[in-house]
Amino acid sequence: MHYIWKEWKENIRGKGLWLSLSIIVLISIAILFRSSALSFDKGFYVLLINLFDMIIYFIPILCLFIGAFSIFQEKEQKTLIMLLTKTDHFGSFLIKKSLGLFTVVLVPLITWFFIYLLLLKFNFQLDIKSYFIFVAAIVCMSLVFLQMGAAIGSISRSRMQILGFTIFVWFYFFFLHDFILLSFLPDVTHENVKLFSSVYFLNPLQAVRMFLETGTGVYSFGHMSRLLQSFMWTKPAYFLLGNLLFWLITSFFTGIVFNRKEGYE
Amino acid sequence: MKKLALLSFIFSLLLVMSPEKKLAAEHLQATIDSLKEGAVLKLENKTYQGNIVINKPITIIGSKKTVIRGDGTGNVISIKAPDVKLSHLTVIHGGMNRNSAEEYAAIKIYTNNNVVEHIIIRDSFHGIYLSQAHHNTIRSNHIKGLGKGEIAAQGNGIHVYYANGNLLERNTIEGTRDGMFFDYANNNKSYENNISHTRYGLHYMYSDANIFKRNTFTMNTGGAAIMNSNHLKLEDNQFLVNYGNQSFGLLLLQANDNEIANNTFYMNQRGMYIDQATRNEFRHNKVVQNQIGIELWSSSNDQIFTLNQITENTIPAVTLGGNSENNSWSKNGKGNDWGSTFPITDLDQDSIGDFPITYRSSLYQLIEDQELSYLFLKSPALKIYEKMNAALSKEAVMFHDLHPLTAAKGSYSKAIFLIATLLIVGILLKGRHLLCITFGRNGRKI
Amino acid sequence: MITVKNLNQSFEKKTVLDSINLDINRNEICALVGRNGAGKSTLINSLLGLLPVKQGEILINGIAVNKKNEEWKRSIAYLPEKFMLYPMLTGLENMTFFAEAVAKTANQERIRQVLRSVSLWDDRNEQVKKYSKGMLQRLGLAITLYQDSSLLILDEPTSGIDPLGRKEILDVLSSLQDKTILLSSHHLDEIKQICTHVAYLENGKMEKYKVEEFLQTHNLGGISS
Repeated sequence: MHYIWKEWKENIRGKGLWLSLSIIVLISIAILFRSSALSFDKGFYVLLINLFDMIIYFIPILCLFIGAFSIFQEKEQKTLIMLLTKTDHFGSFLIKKSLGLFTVVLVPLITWFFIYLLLLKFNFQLDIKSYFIFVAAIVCMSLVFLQMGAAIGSISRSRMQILGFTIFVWFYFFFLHDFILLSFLPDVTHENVKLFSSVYFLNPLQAVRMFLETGTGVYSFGHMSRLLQSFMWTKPAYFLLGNLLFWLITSFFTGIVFNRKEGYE
Repeated sequence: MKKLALLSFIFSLLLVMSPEKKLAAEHLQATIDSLKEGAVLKLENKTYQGNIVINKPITIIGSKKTVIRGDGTGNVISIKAPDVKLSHLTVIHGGMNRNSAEEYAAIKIYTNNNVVEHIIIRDSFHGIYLSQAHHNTIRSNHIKGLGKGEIAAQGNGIHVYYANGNLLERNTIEGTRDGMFFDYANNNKSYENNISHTRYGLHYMYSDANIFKRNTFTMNTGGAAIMNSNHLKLEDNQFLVNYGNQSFGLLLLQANDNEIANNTFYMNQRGMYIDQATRNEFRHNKVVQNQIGIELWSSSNDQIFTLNQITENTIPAVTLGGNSENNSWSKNGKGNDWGSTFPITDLDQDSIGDFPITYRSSLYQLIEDQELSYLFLKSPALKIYEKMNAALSKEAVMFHDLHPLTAAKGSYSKAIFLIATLLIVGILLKGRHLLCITFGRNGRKI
Repeated sequence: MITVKNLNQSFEKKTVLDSINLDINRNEICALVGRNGAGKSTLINSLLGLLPVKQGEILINGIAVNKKNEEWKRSIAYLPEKFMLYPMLTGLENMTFFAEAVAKTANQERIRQVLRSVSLWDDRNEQVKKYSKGMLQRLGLAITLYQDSSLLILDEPTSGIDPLGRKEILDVLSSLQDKTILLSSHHLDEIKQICTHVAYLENGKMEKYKVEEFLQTHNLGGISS
């Protein structure tokens, strides 16, 4: 609990979090202006999808940086060593620190989207369930990339390394992962489609998008072919949950196993 | 004593059997039967039991809470006389039996020149069924089905079977199997209907010379599916967010000589999907922000695309199943506006590009061979994949526009975006020191 | 208090500590002295369990330093070199955080007592980023003292501080009672003022002296006076 309190005070009094949040706010407002011409009853869904399509470019990289630099600063400030020499071992430190990060990033984010909902009320007919799904999608994406960022911060020994790792991770999930799958796509058959599907949904961006679009009813899987049925071998919500658990656990243990307690700088 | 006992027994039976409903049903039917031709029947704010059959030209007007509830075995209201008017009713609980010889509906019309308006329909197989019924007006009704997922268990919002010359306007239909289904139905007009969450918002089979204007199709599996139907006019319609795995805004399948003008195709999986169709003209349409703007199978010939705005689509147009050189991407020296995807010069300022545009892509092979490729349409990796395959010479010509139009001027929202971006960049540049505090040593002087 | 037996540490095939033996007894104040790169930080990190010990043994209060049993941590309070703490938090908030890292709730009376002892009570509500170097160092010392551990390991506690600031810190250290202190230092006057012993590290070897003995027998290159 005291980690959460400490993290909260640090970030609220700092500028990094506010800068990040202001980007999200600006994007949201811009999308709202752009969507003002949409119809009252269905425009809400269009806005959510457009907003998500924009935010997906920012939230992963912001969360990666916030997570990575937060851990790196603990090393740089020598507070990590001070904590490790008390009662904490690195694993428990990382858990508490991660929880602190999650709280600090998600609380302002969720607060903003609650305010945003009130703004939307003046323009569109609201669907609270769909909006909740949208917020849940953003939260899941943030959690995954914050934890990855924390792992990067644990591994890195300099800012340049953080930059390198972060850009690589972002690039991988944005381009490389799908590019590799596209290369294998012509060879997908009924025998291997389930494996292909599992790898496809390992990309948090795809898992989150599928969850959002199916959950809001925008994307439908009517009249699925046998191949597609095999591809969607479980519900999008379960794909997302599996993805979330996988990356949280993997990032966490990567951070523990490969951590470097000192930074060069 | 005995008489008293008998009376009490009958009285108790009456209480237990609650005959008031049956009496009410018989009462409504009886009331209808007792009316003269041309009479107006004003119903009260209560529930009347169906099913009823209207055998003479009368007007039935409901109040705000008038409900006619069917018994679940057939059509709730059958109109078997011409010149009947129904309005301001709620009609529910029609027969849902799929095994019967007849397809049931909340309101089934067998005759001509009737008006059905301001009706709310729920819990019925079909909403309104026009069976060989001509020149009817179906207006401002609200029909709700079981939901988009249910295909087999329910029928269509409005089903038009061998029925011509009808007017269907300002109806709202959601969650039925198809929104409006036209089966061998010609010369009908559909205006300003709003259809969502159905399989196909509009489904034409063997129905010619119909007009549909200013309708809105949102979040259906397919916006409008036109099959084996010719000489249709589609104008000023909106096909929005029809975005499932196999979804489309407009499907033309074995459909010929149709005019598609001034429509908006926005955020669909495929804006237009054209297969085995001939001589259709696409004019002044906006095809914007779809995954695939136009999917054209080579079995289609002699399409004309002119004066359309085809912009911000992931793939503007794709030709599958071979080349489609029989189709024209311009008419009378005017092609299409492809937006900033294809930068063009216009030195003589005539709003027509100085050079033709040819779009080549390697994605056609992937889309043809593998249906799962649609799942990658939103991925940024797709563009890189396309470029890489271009380098490996796997491209084919998707379209060739001889007279591309110059891009329309950007809206003020782009200016807002630009200003916001400049602001952020300005803050970042000027606020370098602040950034150092934030990401650097947090103000500590070492 | 601290017993090191035959400790060997190497990095990239270079031997940094070569069969080190060291005994620091209760209530001794021992300076860890050596040239830059002699291995002082390596030794301290080994004592703190931050570096794995592959050859040799380290005992703190008779308990072996290893990851399986972290009982030995309760005896140690450590202050690193060039730390920054949390600059956006106030002095009091930093203290409270580290106090809660040790026990579930912070003892506010103890915090007050410790902050007063380092003359930071009046500045407790200032953000740490506004502290001078000396104030920051005293706050670090306060965090270390809060735990009331019997063993303090201080890595260059007066590094980069002006003479008046150093005097304040040394006065605090001098006033401590019943503490065993191991401090790494480059300052001769500091050693003379507060230390009882000197552990001298050179070429991977260690020798322990009494302060007077050390000063008399060694010519110390690279140490400022």
